[in-house]
Formats: sequence, structure tokens, C-alpha cells
Amino acid sequence: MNKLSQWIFGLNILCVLWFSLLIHQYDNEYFFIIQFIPIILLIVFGVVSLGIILYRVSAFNDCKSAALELQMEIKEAKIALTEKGFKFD
Amino acid sequence: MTLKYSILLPTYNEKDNLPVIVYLIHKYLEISEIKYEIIIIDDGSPDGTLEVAKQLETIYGKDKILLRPRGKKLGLGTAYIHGIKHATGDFIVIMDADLSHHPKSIPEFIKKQTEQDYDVITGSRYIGNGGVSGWDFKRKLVSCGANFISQLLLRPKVSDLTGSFRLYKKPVLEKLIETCVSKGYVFQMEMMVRARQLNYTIGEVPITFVDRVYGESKLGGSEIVQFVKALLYLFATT
Ligand SMILES: Nc1nc2c(ncn2[C@@H]2O[C@H](COP(=O)(O)OP(=O)(O)OP(=O)(O)O)[C@@H](O)[C@H]2O)c(=O)[nH]1
Ligand SMILES: [Mg+2]
Repeated sequence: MNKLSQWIFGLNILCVLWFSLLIHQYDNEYFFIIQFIPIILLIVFGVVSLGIILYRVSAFNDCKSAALELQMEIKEAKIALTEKGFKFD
Repeated sequence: MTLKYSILLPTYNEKDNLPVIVYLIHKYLEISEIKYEIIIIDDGSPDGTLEVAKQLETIYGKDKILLRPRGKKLGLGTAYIHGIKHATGDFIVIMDADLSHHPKSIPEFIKKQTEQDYDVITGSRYIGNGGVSGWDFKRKLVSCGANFISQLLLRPKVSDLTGSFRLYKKPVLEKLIETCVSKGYVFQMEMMVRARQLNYTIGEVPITFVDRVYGESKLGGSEIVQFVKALLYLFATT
């Protein structure tokens, strides 16, 4: 089963659960909320996703030392290669 | 018997970067006593990359530097296929020649590979002390966002799907290339998805990605369109 089918399968199950809630709980005092479950879930999902992404952006290492080290090594390479007879233009 | 590693360097207008990367590969692999060859696949760069490569061949020797140029720019994907055909190593290392990928990681890849006899080792900017350098907030956001969505949709069990600094067992890479359908740079992502599908074992090593110092960035806006297309295709088919 490919990923698309897995998603459709999962969403279907959620839909069925929600419908059965809608049908059986119409006299429930929380019926108003039950009606909006899909939208609530969608919003929660969006907010959580955004949170995860922003967290990862902030945790993304900025490797300044790697860039500096590379600059040094570029100089080193040029000197060593020139000694070996390499001609930079 | 010592194992041999073939490093593929596709180049297009990398005359400033190529000597440095070759020097660094030599520096880090020689001290680790790793047997290697560097295969340079230049696609007729107008800036004279091939002349630079020839000089390097003279300095380091024909057994270390193999020049396998092509007449014109035929793209990165076919450059790898072309390079593999000439590779004599047991393992293939794929990396960019623009110094974004640092050769010091190669011995770490090799060490990781031997730990559990992994089929594939992939460098990751997102784990441990890996990371990027010179990226602004927007670029990080796009990268993390794209990564999050692809993780969600494809669940590849690999933290860095679009990175292209990797080590493969040669037969594994040949098999993967045969299986992959996408062209262009998105095929890096497909390779990981297919590797999972074919039950290959994948190990990850943190890498630092430093933006290119010399030369122009060759990828434009069509990159995003390509990425989305590939993502949806893999989502619906794998
Ligand atoms: N042989 C060959 N090499 C290529 C071609 N296009 C790109 N390359 C090389 O492939 C590597 C990766 O390409 P880059 O242009 O660095 O792509 P990128 O890293 O996604 O983008 P920037 O670093 O921002 O430019 C570099 O070593 C390039 O020189 C091609 O058509 N043929
Ligand atoms: Mg690059």
C-alpha cells in the first residue's frame, strides 16, 4: 500500500468515527463542539506543525567555525598546490 | 584486501573549487590510509575546469585522478551514471565539488559504514552537530519546511532527504539508479525512498554544509516546482 492510500485509509477511519459521533451524540451537551471536530483537528495539526518547523529552524546549527575553517584550508590548499607546481590563474 | 573508494565529482564551472576539493580529499584520506580514486566528470565547462583537472591529474597521478569529461552539459543525474561506469572502487562517494561538502566527513562515513556494514551512509545537516553555514532565516525556514512535509508524507526514516553527500556500496548504487525515475536534483530524495523500499540499511552521519564560496548558484525557482512534483509522485507511488 502506498503512502497516499495509507493517508486515505487513515482519514476514512477518522471520518467514520466522527460520523458515528455525530449520529449518536446529537443530544450530547457537547454536540456543538463535536460538529466542529474536523476543523479543530485541522487547526491543531497546523499549529503543531508550525511549532515543530519553527523549533527546528531555531535549533538549526549555524556552523560559523566550519566556514572559517574552510577559509583557512582554502589558503592552505593554494599554498600547497602552488608548491607542487599547480598554476592558478 | 583493502577496500577502495571511488569519489565522484561532477563539475560544471568549478575551476576555483576543484583544486581545493581535490587537495582536501587527498589530505583527509591519505592520513586515514584510505585507498581511493577521484573521478571528475566535467560537462564541457566554459571556465576551463577541465584544464584545472588535467593539472591535478599530473600532480596526483592517473591512478588517483580519473578524468571522464563529457562534451556538453547533460545534467547531474547522468553525470553520476557516467562516473559509476568508470569506477573501480567497492564503494562510491557522491559529493558536490563546490566545497559545500567537506571531505573531512568521508573518513567518518567510512567508519560509520564499517560499524554495521550499512548499504548506504548519508550525510545529514539536521542531526547532532551537523548544520549549515551562511543561511538566513528564510532559507532555513524553506529547508526545514520542505523537510518536514517530506518526512510527513514519505516517512523515509532519513533525516536529510535532499542532501547529496553520500556513500554507497557500488552494487547498491547501481541498483538504486536503475530503479529511480526522476531526473535532476530531486533524484537524491528518490534514492533514499527507494533505498528504504528495497530494504537497504541506511546510516546517518552529521555534516556541516557551507555555502559555495566561488561560482554562481545554478539552481533557480523551478527547483521548488520540481521538488513538489517529485514529492507528490513518490507520495502516490511508493
Ligand atoms: N557534470 C555536471 N556537473 C554538474 C552539472 N550541474 C551541476 N553540476 C555539479 O554538481 C554539483 C552540485 O551542483 P550545484 O550547482 O552546487 O547545486 P546546489 O549545491 O544545489 O546549488 P548551489 O551550490 O547553490 O549552486 C557541483 O559540483 C556542480 O559543479 C551538470 O550538468 N553536469
Ligand atoms: Mg552546491
